[in-house]
This record gives sequence, C-alpha cells and structure tokens, in this order.
Amino acid sequence: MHTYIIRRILISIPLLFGLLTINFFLIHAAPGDPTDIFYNPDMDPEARENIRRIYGLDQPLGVQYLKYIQGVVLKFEFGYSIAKKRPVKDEILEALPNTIQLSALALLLELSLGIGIGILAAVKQQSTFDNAIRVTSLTFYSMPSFYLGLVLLFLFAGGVSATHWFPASGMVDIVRHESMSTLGRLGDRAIHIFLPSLTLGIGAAAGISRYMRGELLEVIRQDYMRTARAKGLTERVVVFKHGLRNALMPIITIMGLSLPFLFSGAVIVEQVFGWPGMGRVAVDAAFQRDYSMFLAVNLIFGAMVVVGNLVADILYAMVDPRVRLS
Amino acid sequence: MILGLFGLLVGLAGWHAGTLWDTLAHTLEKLFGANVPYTLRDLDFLVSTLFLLGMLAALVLYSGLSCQRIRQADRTAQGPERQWSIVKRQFLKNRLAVAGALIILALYLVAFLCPFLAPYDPVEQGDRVQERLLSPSAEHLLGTDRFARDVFSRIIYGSRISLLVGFLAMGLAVTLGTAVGAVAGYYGGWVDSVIMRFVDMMLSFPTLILIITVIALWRNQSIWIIITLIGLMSWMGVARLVRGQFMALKEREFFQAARALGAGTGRLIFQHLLPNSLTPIIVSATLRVGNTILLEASLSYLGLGVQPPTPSWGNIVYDTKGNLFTEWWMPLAAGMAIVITVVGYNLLGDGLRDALDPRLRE
Repeated sequence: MHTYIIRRILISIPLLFGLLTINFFLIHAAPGDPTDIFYNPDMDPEARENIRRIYGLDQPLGVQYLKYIQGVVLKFEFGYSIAKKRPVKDEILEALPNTIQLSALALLLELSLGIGIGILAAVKQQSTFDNAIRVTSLTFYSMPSFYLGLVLLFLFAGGVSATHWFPASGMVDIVRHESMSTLGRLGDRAIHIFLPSLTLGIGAAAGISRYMRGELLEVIRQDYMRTARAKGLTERVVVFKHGLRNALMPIITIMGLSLPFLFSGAVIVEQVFGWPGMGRVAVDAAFQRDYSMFLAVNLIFGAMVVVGNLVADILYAMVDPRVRLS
Repeated sequence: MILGLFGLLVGLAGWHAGTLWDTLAHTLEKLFGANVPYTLRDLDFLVSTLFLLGMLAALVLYSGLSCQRIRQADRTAQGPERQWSIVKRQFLKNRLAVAGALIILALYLVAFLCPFLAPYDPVEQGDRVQERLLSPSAEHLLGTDRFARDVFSRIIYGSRISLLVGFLAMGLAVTLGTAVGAVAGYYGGWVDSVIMRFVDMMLSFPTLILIITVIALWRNQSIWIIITLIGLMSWMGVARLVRGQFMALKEREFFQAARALGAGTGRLIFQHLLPNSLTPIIVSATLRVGNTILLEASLSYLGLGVQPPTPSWGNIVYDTKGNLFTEWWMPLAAGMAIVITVVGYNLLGDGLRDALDPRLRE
C-alpha cells in the first residue's frame, strides 16, 4: 500500500514536469509576444527590442526554458506578470487560497446534497418523489453554471428588492470588513461565500445524485442485501451499513475525476460573482495576453488535477479491499 | 446501415455549416462576383422553404409507404419482432424520453424555420436612442438589447449556432474517440497501454482552462476553431467506452469464429465489432451534445466564443449580463433556452440508454 502511494507520487513528478514543458512551448509557439501590450505604432523598434531584452525574451528559446525551469524548481519563482506588474508568485498566492475556499465548500455541499438526495431517490424508487427529484436534478445538471449563478444573483442579491439578502460580488465587504468584530467578520465572509459555493455545488450535486441513485439501485438488487434483510436487520441498517458502503466506491472515483471540473467550473462562477480567485486570474491573463501568468495558471490547475486523481485513487484503494495493488 | 447513418450525419453537418450566414455570403460571392442580387435573408428564406417542402414530401412518402406495408402485412404472416421495433416500443413507453425527443425535434424545427419564426432580423440595429433596452411588449416579445436589436429573434437564430457547435463538436469527438478506442481495443497489448496512458493524460487537462488559453493565445475566435477545440477535448470518454466494448466483444464466439474463418482486420472491425458497439456510442454521443453546448455557452459567457453580431445564446447572456438587475428577462431567457435544449438532449440520451438496455425489459 505504501509502495503504491510512493510510486504514484514519483510518477506524478515527471507528469508535472511534462505539463510544464508542454505549456511552455505551447505558449511560446503562439503568435505575438508578451510585450505586445506595450506596442504603439509610433514606437521606435529599438525601444521594443529593449523591452524584450529587459524581460529576457530575446534569448534563444532553450535558454529561456532552462532559466524558467531553474526558477521554478530551485527558487519557486514563476516569473513576472507584465500586465499586472507584480511577480506571478504574489498574484497566485493571493488568489489560490480564495479558490480553494470556494471549491472546498462547494465540494462539501455537493457531496452532502448529492449523496443524500441520491439515497433518498433510490430508496423511494418509482414514487412521485423519485420522479420529481430526477427531473429537478436533471434540470440542475443541464444548467450552465453561469446561468444558475445569474438566477441566484437575481433572486437573492438585488434583482428583486424584497429579497436583497446576499451581496452580489466580492469576498468581503471592502468598506466595513476591517471594522467588524470577529464574529461579524465570520458572518461577512459567510454571506459572501454562500451564493457562489451554492452555484458551484448544486450542479455537481445533481450529477452525483444521478449516479448515486443508479449505483444504490444496482446494489439494492444484490443477493447480500436480501440476506441482510432476511437476518432481520432494520431497513436503515441494511441500506446504510451494507448498501451504502458498496455504492459509495464508484462515487469516490467520480469525485476524484470530477476535481478538474470543479476547478474549471470555478472559473465561470468566479466571473459571475466577482470572486477574486484563480479563475479570474486565468481569464484576466487570457485577455491581457499575460504569458507568464498563463504558464503558472496552467501549471497550478494541472497540478491540482494530478493531485486530485492521486487522492481519488488512494482513497479508492483504501476503501475497497478487493483492489490489489501490486 | 452504418453507411446510411454516416450519410445522415454528414448531411446534417453540411446543412448546419451551409446555413451559417458567412458561408452563405461566401458562396454568393463566388457565384455572382461582386454584384449579389439577393440578400442573405432571401437565401435564408429559400433554404427554409425548401426544407418545409422537403418535409411535407417526406411525410407524404412515409404515409404512402406505411399504407403499402400495412397492405402487405395483411397478406404475409408476422415474422419475429425485429430488434429496432422492440427498442422503439420500449422508448415510447418512457414518457420523459419521448418528451426529450420532442424537445429536440422542436429545436431542430425552430433552427430550420428561423426566418419564418423570427419577427425581426437578428443583427439589424434599430434606432439606438429611442429603441434600446425596451421591455417586453407586443412588438418585441423579449424587448430589445442595448443596440436596439430584437432579443427574441436573436434567441431564435442563436439556436443555429448552438446546434451547429453541439452537433459538429460531438461528431468530431465521437469519430476521434471511436477510432482511438477501436485501435486500442482491437490490438490490445502494448498499443492499448500506450493509448490508454495518453487518454489518461488528456483527461487530466482542465478543459476550460486549456480552451481559454488556446483561444486567447492564437486570437482566433472563429466558430470552426471553437468546434475543433471542444471536439478535441471531448473524445476521451468515447475512446474508453469503445475500447471496453471491443475488448469484451473480442471474447465472444461470433468474433472468434469470424477470425478463425480468416476475416481480415477491416472486415472484423467494421462488420463485427463496430455494429455491436454502436448502442453505447449512440447514447454517449447524445449525452455529449449536451455537454458541448454547455461548454460553448460557457466560452461565450467569458467573451471567448462566437463574436457578435452573430447571435449565440451564450453571446446574448454575455452582452446583457450587465443589465441583470434591471432588464433581467434578456440573460435569463437566453439561459433558459440553453437549459431546455440540454435537458432535452439529456432526457433523450437517458431514454435511449434505458430503451437499449436489455436488462430493463419486461
């Protein structure tokens, strides 16, 4: 078991390295230049060359690549964001915790809602409740995340004046946050994070509940469930202790594989709610052609995905004793 | 039969591409040179009228053929029930699935008959001072946006973009995925390992981020680039599916018999393995269209999708999201169109899956 984990971690390192390399050459293969934002038709071509030399862009590609790798591995430096005039590392260190907060809360919501509703729907199969749940969860599953966000914004954050309960954007109340008590600050953060994490969570929860319902239905038909009931155990024990354990296993894999979607979804939700996280950084980098930012963002997202898959595999191996890890 | 399906898909794709206004404009220029005697709206009407007539002709033909079949059936004895009629019956029993199919049918009708249904030209701007941001009224069913364009017409024409992107991207993803999965499944061994490693690597790319990166770097937002990118990020699931199917089918007797009789690789794949793997592919393809439509909408929401004035549902939301609190009907209606479409495709896909699953039969 431990060898498996160590082996997977060792494999992840060249994977991340490969990610970095591919991203680097992809970005430099694109037309244009990071210095394009300084471009001005009246500019002296020498001035442009000077700018490129300042940022080290006139050196051969291999040299740039090696310097970049050196920076990342040895000093944990990701370069300099030309559009935002700050080191990329600072920008990311500010944005990353915000996204992690949002994604973590959304994950919690999605798991509890999704699994809970899936179980309910499976247990009450073929009833009107089940059908209602199926249609509702299908509708939420088919919504683009921005649409759900916009609807929630409209209903609860300002469109209808009677229900102006939540703020429309941002992480904290810029004006009053510093002057609040600790409890007040907590409450402020809570109402700011509620709608975005709800948006992120509900869509994913709908997907999980569909899958959960299917899995649990399959498990309930198995013979060992019938044996458990014949032994005289209560229905609750039968479902939760015996059925759920087996149905939960594919959910773990799904969860691990859906981590990239959680982060991609965060991009959209962060745009809708003005959440200062990695998604917004990524979109800004896209529109401002900020190449060093791009590299770092892609790397971070790629790394999160690799880590997510690793965690999912490890959890799966821990939960299912039938999995033989050679 | 595969050829027939393929022909149908190519035909649909061709129609989709052909009705794009830039394609029409391009063709017109080639045919007539600089002095084009028709407007794009005229051509649009022509195509839609042709479709309407074609549909009527098909209906007449079909009823004629059915009469003939009924007359013949009276004479000959009933054979064993064919597979597709079993599937069809199972499908029709599922009300949600039928609802999904009807939604998609209605969507395609709307897309084909755009010029008849949309009261105004979707890109024509009205009086920008007096007619911008009007509320819904009898003249403008969903009001006007900030360029005084009728939102209802824009939403109707937007269906074409969504259908086009959804269909073609899905086609690309399914074709690519089937090819890769078939090679991996058929040959097995190290070929399979290498290909599956590659698939795993592709799956670990965050889709939206990558597409955003590529579109932003190459500064190209044409609809074909978007379709290609979305298709290139969506084929992995199909590949896994097809590989699994092929590997399972390789163990069956009919396959081993065919191979023992000396059938070549091509014949084995196309005549034996592929037709029997078709059902999960079809289900996966239908469900995938929903995902590609959502992806395209998300891209447009960020401003990286199809550019205005071409109307696309995500586009409309992007244009009007600033007015969410005051003119809320515009983004919400466009988004609702997306939801209804994707729900339709998902219902259809689920229904197909349930109908094709022999374990759920009575």
